Amino acid sequence: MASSVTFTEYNGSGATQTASRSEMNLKNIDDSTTAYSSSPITAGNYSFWKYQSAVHTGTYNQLSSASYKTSSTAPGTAQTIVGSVQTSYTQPATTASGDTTTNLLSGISANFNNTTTGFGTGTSTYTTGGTVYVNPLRLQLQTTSSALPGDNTSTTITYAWTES
Amino acid sequence: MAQLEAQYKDGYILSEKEQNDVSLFVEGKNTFYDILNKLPEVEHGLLVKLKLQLPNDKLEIDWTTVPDNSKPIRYKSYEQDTNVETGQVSPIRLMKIGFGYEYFDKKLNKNVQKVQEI
Repeated sequence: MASSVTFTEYNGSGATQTASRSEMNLKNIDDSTTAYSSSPITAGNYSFWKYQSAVHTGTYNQLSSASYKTSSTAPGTAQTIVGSVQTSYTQPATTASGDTTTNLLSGISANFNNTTTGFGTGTSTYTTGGTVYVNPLRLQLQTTSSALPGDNTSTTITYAWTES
Repeated sequence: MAQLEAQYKDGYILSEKEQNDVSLFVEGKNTFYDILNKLPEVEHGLLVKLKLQLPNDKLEIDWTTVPDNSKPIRYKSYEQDTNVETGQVSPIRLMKIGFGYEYFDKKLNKNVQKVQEI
């Protein structure tokens, strides 16, 4: 049986964690509670950055080859999803994150960090066992003034890993 | 789906369980950890056969014929999708299995891996 995977989100000035996230919408507020429909991104603006880590639990011998990818980097007209794997935390903002679309469709490698947070250099293989946080994927939706109102085509985030 | 079995000299078979793959010796580890670290060999003798049971096939390694100090290799690559909007998580997909062994070849002075990927 594979180890179990959930996603933890980080928000605020101190990277407050919310475990077992049930959605990953990009929105105009840095929290894990407000519905995206209550904090929409208006045309010409950017979403707050969103950090989420995969978290493994369960039994395994070794974990390796962690990566994230998205099904799209253009979920709507005049809209771009950018992102990268992060090893340190900066409070989310609506300014450009500096990330690009590079490798988002093909996969961005991440390391396994430790038992409490995904922020840190980590290691590409992990043998300690038990709970381990993976470096988080940081995403941002960037729009131009040509963006149309309404919901986008839904995007999928795929997390991949190898275990023995 | 893909169950690993290790048979030892006294006939004992250690079998990986799909739903509860837990080490008999070390908390937090799995059955493969026990096999890799030779933990059952104290009580049951040397490993003699390693088998990967697949739904319609099986792969076997006669461990008595592999080079000394060989180590088993068995890995699984997975993917899991999450819908950004709904949070709906797909079942974990098994993408690839690697099965075989590795050993250090003193003549070549390097580690040699014999792995079949499925």
